[in-house]
This record gives sequence, structure tokens and C-alpha cells, in this order.
Amino acid sequence: MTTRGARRRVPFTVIGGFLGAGKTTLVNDLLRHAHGERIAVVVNDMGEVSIDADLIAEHDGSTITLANGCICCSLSDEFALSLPDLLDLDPPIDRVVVEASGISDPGSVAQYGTLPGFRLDGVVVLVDVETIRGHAADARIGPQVLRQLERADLLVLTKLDLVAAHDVSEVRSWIADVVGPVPCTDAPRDGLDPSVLFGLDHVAGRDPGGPIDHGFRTTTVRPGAPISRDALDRWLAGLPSHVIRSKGRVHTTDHGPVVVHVVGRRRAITPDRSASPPPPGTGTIVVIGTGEMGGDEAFEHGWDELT
Amino acid sequence: MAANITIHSAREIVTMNPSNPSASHVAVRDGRILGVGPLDELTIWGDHTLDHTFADHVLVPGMIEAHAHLLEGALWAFPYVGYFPRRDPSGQWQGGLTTIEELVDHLAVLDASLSDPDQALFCWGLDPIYFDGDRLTARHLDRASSTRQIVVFHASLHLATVNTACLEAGAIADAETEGVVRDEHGRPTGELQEVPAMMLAPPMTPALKSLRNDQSYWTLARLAVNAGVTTVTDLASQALFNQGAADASARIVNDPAYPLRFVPYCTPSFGPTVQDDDAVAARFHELAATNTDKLHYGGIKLIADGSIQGYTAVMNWPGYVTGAPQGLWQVPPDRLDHMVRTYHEAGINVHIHANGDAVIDAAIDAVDRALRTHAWLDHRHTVQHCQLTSAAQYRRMARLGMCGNLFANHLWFWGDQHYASTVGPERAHRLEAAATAKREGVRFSLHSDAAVTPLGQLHTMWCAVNRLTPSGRVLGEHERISAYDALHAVTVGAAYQLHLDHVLGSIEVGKHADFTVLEENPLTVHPIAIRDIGVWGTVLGGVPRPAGSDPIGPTSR
Ligand SMILES: [Zn+2]
Repeated sequence: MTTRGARRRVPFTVIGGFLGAGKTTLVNDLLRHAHGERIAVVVNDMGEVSIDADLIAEHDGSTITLANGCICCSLSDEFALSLPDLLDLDPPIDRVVVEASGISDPGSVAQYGTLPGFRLDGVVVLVDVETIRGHAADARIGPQVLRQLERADLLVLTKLDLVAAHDVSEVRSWIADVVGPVPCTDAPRDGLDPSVLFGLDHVAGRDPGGPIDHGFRTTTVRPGAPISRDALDRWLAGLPSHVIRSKGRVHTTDHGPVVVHVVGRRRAITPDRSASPPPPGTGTIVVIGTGEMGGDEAFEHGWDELT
Repeated sequence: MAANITIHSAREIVTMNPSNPSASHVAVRDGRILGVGPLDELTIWGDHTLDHTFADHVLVPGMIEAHAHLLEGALWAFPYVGYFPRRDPSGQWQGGLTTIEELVDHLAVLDASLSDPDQALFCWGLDPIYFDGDRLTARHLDRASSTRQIVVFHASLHLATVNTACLEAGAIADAETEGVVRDEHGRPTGELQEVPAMMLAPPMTPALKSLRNDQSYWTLARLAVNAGVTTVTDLASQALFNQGAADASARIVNDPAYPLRFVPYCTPSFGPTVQDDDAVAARFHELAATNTDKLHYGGIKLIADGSIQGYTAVMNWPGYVTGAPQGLWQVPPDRLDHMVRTYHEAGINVHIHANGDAVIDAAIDAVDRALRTHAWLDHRHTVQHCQLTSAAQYRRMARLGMCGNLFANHLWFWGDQHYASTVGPERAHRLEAAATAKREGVRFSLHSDAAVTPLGQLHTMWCAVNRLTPSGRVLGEHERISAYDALHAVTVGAAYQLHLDHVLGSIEVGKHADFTVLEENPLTVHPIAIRDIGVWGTVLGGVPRPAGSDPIGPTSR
């Protein structure tokens, strides 16, 4: 049995958004398309997520086990204190997804993902395009609704079929006005592929460069020259807002091999401790974005100034 | 047959029954009050044993704390290091550490008392706003020990300060967690804000996890008996969906050795399988079906906002004097409406934590709307804490049949801060406006919110009657209430809002024989002396339970 500190850090994703924004649908989609990952979904106190009955293999008290090995648990008051216990599960879990309650600040919940044993992967906030502006204008809860948007690394627009297309674009520009350039993607009617939220482990084996499910695009980028860690960070910071996720391994000139994770506007560069890191001067970054994202050519510029 | 009736004589019995306000004797049979009056009126019931144990004492109805938490019993597993002196379960005064130097000296003594050098020192109750000048840091705590991990958990339960040994053991300098307070060089100062940052301190999680155990019930009972309290609510019970909590309450409270009535109000935390308010209501009814004379699931507790001193109580205009934001809703108003309506329609008494006037509006609105569609007039839904309730709000509460439970202890523990830096003088003067509640016809109780402040209804009464602050200010002289009204609040008033006034709250025929046994009559001592009245102990269901220093434990089986 290894100690917690020596283990791989388990990615930790927070899903936020006001009541009715579609968290239940999203979580069920994620569990349905887990692609072999063992996901632990943590339902926060006063949560609104209910797991579809056809997914449930068994449930005992506050924990549900799914046929595909995923689990869903409510930690209620011991939410916080019991979170590290998820790291001791056998077989081990691959990922934690926490549903933040509809009024809470998902950025605060995300702080648990910074604790030892976890890696905060990202804060994804769902936005009901039909109701968001009304909630944000509400004198009572408006400030907290806006705070949720401000704390997002990635926004997912939901309930798109309920409003006209030009209203959706109005919501997009309203979001840009109130919270700035947060990467923002649409939730497809037939469900969001977990790849979009959970990174690109899932798309391995698919044809890179081509369109993937639901109108998302993925492309593979290779640094054009040896690059320092700082320069890599600047390159990631400059990615267009159509980019939703990136993941890669790059050999940096000053910090050796590193792993890159980007979720919306959150980026993390951590040492690559894998058995076969990329050799010096090489690296690969897979990028996933919305349909508007260009192909490889869109990412080729910029390396030279950085190095 | 003889001796199944006990008649207690007393110096005076203050009954809180207006039709028979004072008496010399009370007869008890089968744990209940058979009669109250002069001895010659009680002998009509036949053979009896005359008990003079309380001949020099004053009996009042068993005092009811209608807003406390099991945590009050749990925290005493660790040393208390707060600014205000506080009695531990053995009756000894602890804390009273008024400067950083006194705190550090005391921590050094505690450090020396631990033989295992690897054992962390975890202590609680600190309120740094009372230290003039310096903010407590790791450097201060390092003077107590540079090698042992020290964690000082603040009274707010939202913050902790740790020493350098702890910062290093938790690698806290490298943490990315928000809430790690840092100096101008980016080094952690030792202060950790909110739970995630506190969990970086290695001793924190095991200490907090250890709090949920049977012993906390027994310690709470010892504290309650010593304070003269016979019924305690647990106003954030997890029993709805935590079978362990429900089982522990049943096992312990129903033990004949357990000297308290225990009234859990359940917070409706959901889980993956229980998702809606109807399911919560159904589960509550299952729990309530297990109610006994001692363990009584009273209703549902909802939390609508935060605290005034944390600037998270949600305020109407003009808000906080500092210009801080309006506060934080813990549940959106529409959601609050839905929950209140569902539980109301299911016949469940709802207690709503609401401190700021904006959230109090929402709580009243929710009950108003529920009543428009479902006429349950005797609901007794209660605004808990009720700190900034205005006269207009009390008038609405009265018309709607709502109760208030006022956090009177705040006047003493934070009154000066409210005056100077949260809501400002005028609203500080009408904080915990008990006189207004009474004038406008709202039935109310007074509470400690233990462990936030110490359990003890004499102290809480004293706060509402005198409204003094530590600086010597009278905070709102026009909101002072009489000792009678204060005693009424912690007996009949509390019983009423728990729907237990038919069996608790006064000393009259038919009710449980629960008494608080005092050295003096709180209605006739000088008001400033109410909190200093000696407590002999309690009588619960006719059984005397003397105050003392020995732990109380389960019946051995
Ligand atoms: Zn409380």
C-alpha cells in the first residue's frame, strides 16, 4: 500500500451552476460515457443531482455503485472531512467530480481539489441560457449567480433548444461583458462527451485533427522549437478562447519533462514522472475546442517569439 | 400503596403556570407532575414519600435550550483557550486568556503536559478580535513549541491558526489552496481560513472526525445538568440520511442513565438516491415515528444565510456599515419557498436559520405563501437566531403564527463589535429585540447556539434582561425584558416552538416532572445576579440529577 503523497494525484472537477442549469443531465451523461474510467461523483449537500435509475447497480446507504464501476456518494456534513477517504478506495478511482450546490460558489468547493492527493482539474459552470440573465439581475441572488460565472474555468451553455439562436449569441456577448473572455461551449442536445470536460485521455485512438463528437474539434500541436517552462505557460495562456481543453507532455529546456493540463482558463504544468517522458526538444499537446477552432495551422504561430 | 408518589418540598416553586404561579410542594408519580400546591392539597393522592432535598432551593421548570448543537459536548475532548472564561464539563473554569502572551503561556503548559512528542496539540475557542493590535500568527505559537504541531481552532469554526511545525508538516507554504493567509513575502502567516485551508494542517481532519462519537452526547449531558438545562435541541441533526447518527441518538438518549431530553431538528441533506423535499418529509416522518418521551424529532432545520460578524448574514438596505457586500444566501429564496411549503404541507415544524433582515423577509414570505395554499394554523414555524428582525417583521410573524428564537448571547459576546463594525449603533440597539417581539405578540425563546457560545440558560436570560456588553455598554435599553419574560422564554416559550408545551415548560399537573433546581429565585434576585445563581442540578422525569464533576456514562449492561 503506497502512501497518499506518493500516488498519482486524482483529477478533481467541480460542476457548478444555478439550480436548474442542467447538472443532473450532465452528471448522468458523464457516468453513462465514463469510457472505463472509475469516476466518483460526489453530490454536495442540498444537491440537485439524481442518478438515473437504469445506471444504478446497487446502493447502500449514501453510496451508489454503477454497473461500470463508477460510484456516486453523498458525504453530507462529512463532505469535507471524508473527501480524502476517496483516495483509499479499492479499486482506486480515476477521477472525482463534485457537484456544487445551486447557490454555492463553485470556486470555494474547488479548494478541496487542491488538497494532497488531488489535482484540481477545473471548475465547469453550467449556464441556462434561458434564465441566466434574469437570475443575474435578481436583486437578492444576482451577486451570487455572477460570482459562479466569475469562478468558472469553463462555461457550458445549456437549454439551447429553448431559445432562438440570436438570443444565444446575446447571452454569449453578455457573458463576455460581465465576466470577460471565459471559454464557453454549448452543451449538445444529445449529451456532452466527457472528453470535453475530462480531457483527452478519452480521445486517444481517434483520428486527431478531425472533427469529433458533437461538433468539437481536436488537433495535435508540437512545439516548433525547444521551449522553457515559462514560455510554455505563456503559450498556453495565449490559446484562443475556442479552446476548451488541452493536455500534453513537453520536454522543457529548464524544467525537463512536464505534463500540461488546460481546462478553459485554468492551466497547470506539473513535472512528468511517467516512465517514458518525451525526449529533450520534443513534445505533443492535444487541443480540443469548439467547431470554430481552426486546425493545426491555427496553433503553429507564436513558438518562435516565446523561445 | 405507598411510595410511588414523591412530594418534594421547596423554598419556592416558580411554576410559570399563571393560574398557579407559586407553590411550596410538587407531587410526582411515574415521572410526571401529579400536583402543585401546599402539602395539604397534595395528600389527596394518597400515600407518599415526603422529600426535603430541595427544602432550601428554588424549583423552576426544567430549562429548555431550543438552539444548541451536539458539538458543545464534542469540543471538550480538547482544551478550550478562549478569551471568555468557560466552565468545562467538570465545572472548572477554563480559558479567560485575554492577551496573546497569556495564550502562548497557556499553550506552553499544555505542551509540557503531553508526554508523546509526536502528539499534536489541538485546542479551540479562540476569538482573535479581542486581542488588541497583533493578529495571532505561527511565530507567536512557536514560542509555545517549535517541534510539536499546534492548531488553535477559532470560535467562529471558520478559521484556525497553526505553528511553524504544523505549517512544515503540512507543506502549507507550497499549497495552492485559497485561504492560506500569507505575508508580504508570500510566506504563510499561520492563519488558515475556511475548511479546505484548515484541512492542510495535518492534525485538523483527525481532530474534527473524532468529534462525532458517543462521548459527545454524555459530555453534553454533564454540561447541561451543571447548567440546569433539562431539554436540549440538536439543531443540525444529520439523522435523516445518516443512520449512524439516528442509531446513536436512540441508543444513548433512551438509556435511563441519560439525564436529558434531546430534540433533534434535521437538516435535509440530500443524497444520490433521495432527491426531493417530499422524500425528506417522508423520511422525517419515519424518524418521528420512533419518538419517545426523551428523544423527540421535532422538525426540519433550514439554513438561509450566514452570520452578522462573518458579514454573511443577508442584509436589506443599508447593509453593513463597512460597505461589505449584502451577505450570502445559503439557499435561493425560491428554493426556500418550495422546501417550507413541502414540509408545511406534510405537517412538519420548520425552523429557519435567518440572521439578516433580507433573509428574515424571505423566511416570513415562505411561510406566508405556504399558508395561502395550506391552512395549518398551528405550525409554529420559527425564525432561528432572528437577530436583526424589525418591528414590522415581528408584526408579520405574529399574524402568521411564527415564533422567534433570539440569539441573546450575541449581545454579550459580540455586542460591542456589532455596535462598532457590523450593523452600527441603531441596529445594534435593536439586535435580539425581545421586547419588540413580546410587544408585537410573537412567542419567542432565547438561545446560546452552543457550542458557538456556552450552554446555560441563566446566562442567556441575563443577556436578554441586562443587555450589557463587555465594554460596559447597555446595548438597547428599550429592548430589555423582565426576568419573568426571560424565564418564560427559556421554558414555556421554548417548549411552544418545539410543539412540546403540553408536556414541558411549566410545573403543572400532567407535565413531565422536569425541574431546574436553583439556589436563588431568578425572578427576585437583582437582575445583574441572574447569571451567578448557583445550580444544584436538575430533576428529569422525577429523577434528581445533581450537578457535579464526575462524568456521566451509560448504564452498564
Ligand atoms: Zn446553530
